This record gives sequence, structure tokens and C-alpha cells, in this order.
Amino acid sequence: METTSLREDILETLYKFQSSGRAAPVAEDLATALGKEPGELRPVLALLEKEGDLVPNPDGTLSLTTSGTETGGRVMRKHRILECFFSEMLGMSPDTASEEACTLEHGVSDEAIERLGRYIQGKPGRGTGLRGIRRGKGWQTLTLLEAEEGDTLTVSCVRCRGPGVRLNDLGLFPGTEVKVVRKISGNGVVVRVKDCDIALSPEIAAFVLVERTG
Amino acid sequence: MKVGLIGNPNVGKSVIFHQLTGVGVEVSNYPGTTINRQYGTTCFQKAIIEFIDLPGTYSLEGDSEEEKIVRSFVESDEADVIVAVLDAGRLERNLYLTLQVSEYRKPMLVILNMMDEAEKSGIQVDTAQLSSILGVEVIPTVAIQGKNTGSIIPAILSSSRVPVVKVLYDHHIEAAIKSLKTIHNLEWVDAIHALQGQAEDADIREAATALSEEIERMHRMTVAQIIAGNRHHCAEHIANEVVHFQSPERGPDIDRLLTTRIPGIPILAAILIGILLTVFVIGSWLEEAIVTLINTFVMQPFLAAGLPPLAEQLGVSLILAIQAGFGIAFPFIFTFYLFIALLEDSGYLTRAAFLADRTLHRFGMHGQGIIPLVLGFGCNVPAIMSVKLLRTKRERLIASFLVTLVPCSARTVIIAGLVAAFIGLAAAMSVYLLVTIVILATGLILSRVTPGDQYGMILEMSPLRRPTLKNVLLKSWLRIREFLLIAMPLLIIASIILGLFQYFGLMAAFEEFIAPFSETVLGLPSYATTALLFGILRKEMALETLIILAGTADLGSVLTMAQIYIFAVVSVLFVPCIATIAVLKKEIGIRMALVISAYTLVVGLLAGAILNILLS
Repeated sequence: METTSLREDILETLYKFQSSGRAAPVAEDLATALGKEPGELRPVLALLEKEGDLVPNPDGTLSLTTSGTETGGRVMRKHRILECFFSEMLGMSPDTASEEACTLEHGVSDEAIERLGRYIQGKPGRGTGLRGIRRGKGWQTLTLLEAEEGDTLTVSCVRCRGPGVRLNDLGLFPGTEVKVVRKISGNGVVVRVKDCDIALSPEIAAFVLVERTG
Repeated sequence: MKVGLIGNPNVGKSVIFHQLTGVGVEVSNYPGTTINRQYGTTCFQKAIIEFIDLPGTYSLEGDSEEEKIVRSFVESDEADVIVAVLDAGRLERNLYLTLQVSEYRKPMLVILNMMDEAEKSGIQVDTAQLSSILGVEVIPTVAIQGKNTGSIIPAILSSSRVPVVKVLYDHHIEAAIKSLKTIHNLEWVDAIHALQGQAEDADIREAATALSEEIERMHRMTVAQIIAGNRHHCAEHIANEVVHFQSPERGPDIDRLLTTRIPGIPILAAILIGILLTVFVIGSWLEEAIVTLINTFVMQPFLAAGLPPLAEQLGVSLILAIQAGFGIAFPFIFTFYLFIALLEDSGYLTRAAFLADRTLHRFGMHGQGIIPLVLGFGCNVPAIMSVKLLRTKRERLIASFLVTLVPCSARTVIIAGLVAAFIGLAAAMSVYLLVTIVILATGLILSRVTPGDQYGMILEMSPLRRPTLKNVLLKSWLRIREFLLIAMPLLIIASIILGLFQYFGLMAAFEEFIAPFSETVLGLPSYATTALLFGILRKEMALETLIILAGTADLGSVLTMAQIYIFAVVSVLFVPCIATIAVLKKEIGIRMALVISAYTLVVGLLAGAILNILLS
């Protein structure tokens, strides 16, 4: 377990170096960045090299391979989403948020982070720290108003409290599959939910977040 | 024995109620026909059963008008048996409410209505299995054709049972309910309501709020959402067990024509204008026939009888009132209601609401606002009553304001009988145009100055159905009956008072008083202004009074065309009739009723004065 965290931390740090355009670090730089002794890192670095995640350059610096870049990037993204969640939504101080994120980023599943990211994205006026991540691929969250006629979608979030109750009663709540039956631009939409056609005004449709499913 | 009918909107509760009791209840193919409770009694094998038709609702736990009515009914222990009416084709969504009702653990019966439509769309429901899951008797029916409705009453008497079905709630919710139950000694349903913020007692509310806040923190979802989700999952589970899909018969997609911008909006405009023109033409023709008939066979023989003057005056007033009542009720209002009934039963009105949504937003309303506005062309009174189906006070206020300006059948009589008859059809249409401009301008202003929130439209689209002649006629008859019951007495009383005034010479005194204003501002002879005032009692009385006071039905010989036009415009615009003011007071309060009346008075007089300057 300990090694797994360390491995991911190393890949993440290397990824940071790489994506910020700084010169590739040597093992000592890495150790300083991670707050460890170089001796502690050596066996793990060897292991990573063996597994094909990184390659040592002739001058002693370390570079990520393709698979290493991927893992590093993924851990980094988890870190940023968690950090954003802790600081912006739970109101923790940025330092504590970062520390917590450092611990949790190794244990959290891809699905959980995916959903958490979408959840944060759904909150208006928040999540400013997520700008870069938001553009990531496979993030097809949109409002019902943005959906196209004929789309089949899954409701991921209903953001309003007042009208939301009526929408819940009609079956529009997270997890339900809906189909956009009719859409007139600038006008509302008609969605089919549980075999019933429901007409929604634009301002209501804009409250309903959906994911594309097929 | 008392039996309550509960169900989603538009599942046929009212049809079933009508079949069971024979009491006329309005039935429509748009949600929200029954706004108040309807009572009806029937006798079966010496047992007297009282049926209560409740407004259609999607849930028992909300703060809309219909949800409150149904919830208080279910909680009140008033009913011995609750009959849940479900649409077989939309079983899953309909079960949601049934599950809520069954939590009250009262004897129930389930009616699975509209089996024919379900079958057409390829849905087969296993009623026996549904019955065993819910633990209550399930009766499949096709109420509109009267199929199997005969077995409802025997089943109510013999086999209504307390349901056994139970929704599995999230364990946090269950735990919270359990703790509320034990600590505060609450019933199960009260506990679940308290958890959603509906508790009378402050202590309980506080405890429940603390619990629900804790749950909301854990789930990042509101308690209402979690509970709704659990119920929907349960409904889905049941529906999956009992519904079997087959390949449905696919008809042509008429909706594609009706709910797209082109040709949907032109079709909507054509339908509305077509109805108005048809009513206008048929109405004028029929009215003339009825008036002539009463003149020849009642009025003239009566006048020929040579009674003493006072009795003759009273008799004439009475006959005039009846003549006026029938002269507008049947030709204009009944014809209009026939078309409206067709629109409602076909399910077109919900499509019209969808199409009109965007436009009505500009006037501070949303799509559903089209229903009161269209009804207003028949009679403003039921139109204002239907304003209830709008959710916020702001929308109800704007809608009431605009409906009051919509030219109802009585005002159509003035336009047809005065402007069309003495000036021409084009001039008559220009009055409509003028009124439309006033309505649009008023709407634009109101949407800016009225305080309050706007609440968008969430409207279930009724399925398109072929209207049945029987239901269309029945509904039109019920509405016209209501109109006659409200309007006729008022008409007769007003007419007699008017007759007496004239007899005792009070009219002349008033005319002298009003003459300077009338002649200079509106350019009308003083008796015309008196006639306008009588229009407040019933709008079309302005015309009848004018005829009486002018002493001739050939108004063209005593008034100029400009005067006729001004008279018509002022009487159409100014002050709603007494019945409308009364219903406004009931729905939106005395203050706003007075504001609306004052506004229409100013607009009417202003329009008259401007026309007077322009035309003379």
C-alpha cells in the first residue's frame, strides 16, 4: 500500500514537472519535491522503470513513458478535483485541502472521482479551480435545454428546490432515463419520462442536468 | 359510506365519478379539470354511497393547491374507502401516487383505467399479479365506454382492503422515521411528512429538520429527493413485474405537425381564429333567429294584451331579460363551448400551451396561461376560476388581469349586434384588433411591474384522443347550465330594476347629470352612457339598454357610425361585469379586483375619448 502511494506520488510529480515545461528532474529533485530521502525513492524508481512507467536519461534525469504519463495525469486530476471539492465546496483551507487530497487521491476510484467532478461542475459559480479539467474527454454533462431532439439521456442532477419537487414526483430525478421528444429552439422541450410526455419551460429545463447515454 | 377518488391528472377520475353517480362533472383531456372536490351520491342494494371526486395530483406531499386538498382529505379519515384510479398505459408513474396513498393504510381499491389505450400501445398489465403485490383488489376498466365500471361499486362494498405493499426507503430515512416515531410518538406517515418539513408542532419540526439536515449532508441530496427516488424505484420494480410490452401499433406521428414551429404555430393561430369567426357567424345568425322568435311569439302578444302600465313595464323587462339570456347563451356561448370541448378532449390544448409558452413568457406567464385566456372568450367567470392552475401569485394576477380584458361572448354580442350590423364586418374585426393591442400592451406592462417569482411550466401532455360526441355535448351542456344558473337571475333582476327606474323617471334625472361628460368626452348622447353603466350588470345589457332607451332597434337612425363604434369599444373595454368582479374578488382579493376594475374603466374611457377626437 505504502509503495503504491509513493509510486503514484512519483508519477504525479514527474507529470507536474513535465507539464509545467521545467527541466526533467533527477532523483534528488524528486525527493525534495516529495519531502523524502533519495534513498527511500531508489527501490520504487527501479520498480517503476521495470514496469515501463519511466525511463532514466543518460544525464541522470528521469522521463515518463506513455503509460507513466497517463497514470501521472490521472492521479493529478484526482488530486485537483478532490482539492477543489474540499476547499471550494466544503470550505477547508487550501493547504489542508491539498494535504487531504494527497492522501485520498490514491484510494479513490475512477468512478467516484468522475461523479464528484461532474457534481462540482454542476454547481453554478463554483469550481473555478477546475477550468482545465472540465474540458477533459468523456464529460458529456449538459442541461436538458442543451440536449437535441431525439436524444436519450440520464438525469444526473435537478438543481432547483421549488419546482424540483414537482419534477421529482413526475420521475425526473437523478438516474432516470429521459428522451427528448420535441424541442423548439428558444422554446421549451417535451421529454418522455416513464412513458409520459412532459412539457417544460426553458428555465425549468435549464435546471435539469443530464448525461448522454446513447 | 364515503368513497374518495384519487389519481393523477387526466386518468379519467371524473368520467368514473360521473358513471358511478350520474352527477355531471366536467371532464377534460387536460390536467386540472377538477380543482375543488365534487360530491355525488348513489344507492346500491340499499347502501348509500357518497363519492368524492378529488383534484388530480402527482403527489400527496407538496404545497400546490391540489396537493393540499387531496392530502387533507386523506389525512382527515373522512373516507371509508379510497379508490385509486390509474392509467394502465402509464402504470409506473401512476403507481408513485398509489404507493404514497397506501402508506396511510386505509382500505383501498385500485381501478386500472384506459385499458384500451394501453393495449393499443402494446402494453399488457397482469392485474392479478398487481393485485397480489399491492394487496388490494385491482379492477381493469375502460370508463369512457363504460366497460367494467359496473363492478366497481360491488368491489368497494365487498373487497376493499388495506394495502400490504411497502416502499423500501433508504436506511437513513428509515432510521430517522423510527427515531421520530419513538421519541415524539408519531404515526409513520406523520414522521415521513415531518422529515420533509411538514410538521405543525415546532418541537417535532425542529427535531425533524436536524435529522433531515444530517441525511442531506450524507447524501448530498434533499430528503424529498431521496424519498421520491425510493418510491419511484419501488413503482418501477412493480411495473417491471406486471407490465408486459408487445409491439405497439404505430400510427402516424400527428404530434410532429402540432408541436413544431412550422406548421404548429400557424395551425394554432388558424384554429383559434377559425373558432372565433365561426362562433361569430353562427352566433349572430342564431341570435337573430331567437330574438325574432321571442319577439313574434311572446313580446307582441304580451304588448297586445293591454295590461296596466306598471305591470306591462315589468313584464316587458322580464321578457327582455329572458330574450337576452337565451339570445347570447345558446348562440354564442354554447357554440363556443362546443369548440372548446373539442379542443380539450382531443388533447390539443396542452400542445397549444407548449407552443404558446415562449410568447406568454413575454407577458409574465407561461404556456398554461393560454387555457384561461382561451376560456375567457366564452365567459370570463369560469376563465378566472381556471387561473388557479397557474402556480404563483404573480402569474395568477397577470392572467386574471388579461382574462378580464378578453372579449367574452357577451361582448361578442355587442360587437356583432352593433358594429357588424350597423357598420360592417371589417369594423367589427378592428374592434377585436384594438382589444388585442390593449391586452398585449397590458401584459407587457404587467410583466414588468408585477412583483413575485415566475414559475416555469411543467405540464404533462395529454395523449391525443378522438373526442366523443357524448362527452363534448355533455360538457358544453354542463357549462351552459352553470352559465344560465349564474347569469339568468342577475339578468332578470337587473332588467326589472332598469324597467322600474324608467317607469319612475329616475333615468331622466341621471341622464341630465351625466350629459355634459357624455357629450363632450365621448361624443355620445346621455342615454348611451346610461346604457354603458348597465353593461356592468351584464355586458350585453349595454346593447339592450341602448335599444330600450333609444326607443328603436334601428340604432343607425339615431346614432352616427362614429357614435356606434365608440359605444361598442367603450363597452367592450370598460369595467368587467358584476359576476366577473365577484369571481375576481374571490380568486385574487378585493383590492386587486378593484384595481382591475379601475384600470379597465380608465382604459375604456380613454379609448372612447381618443376615438371621439379622431373620428369627429
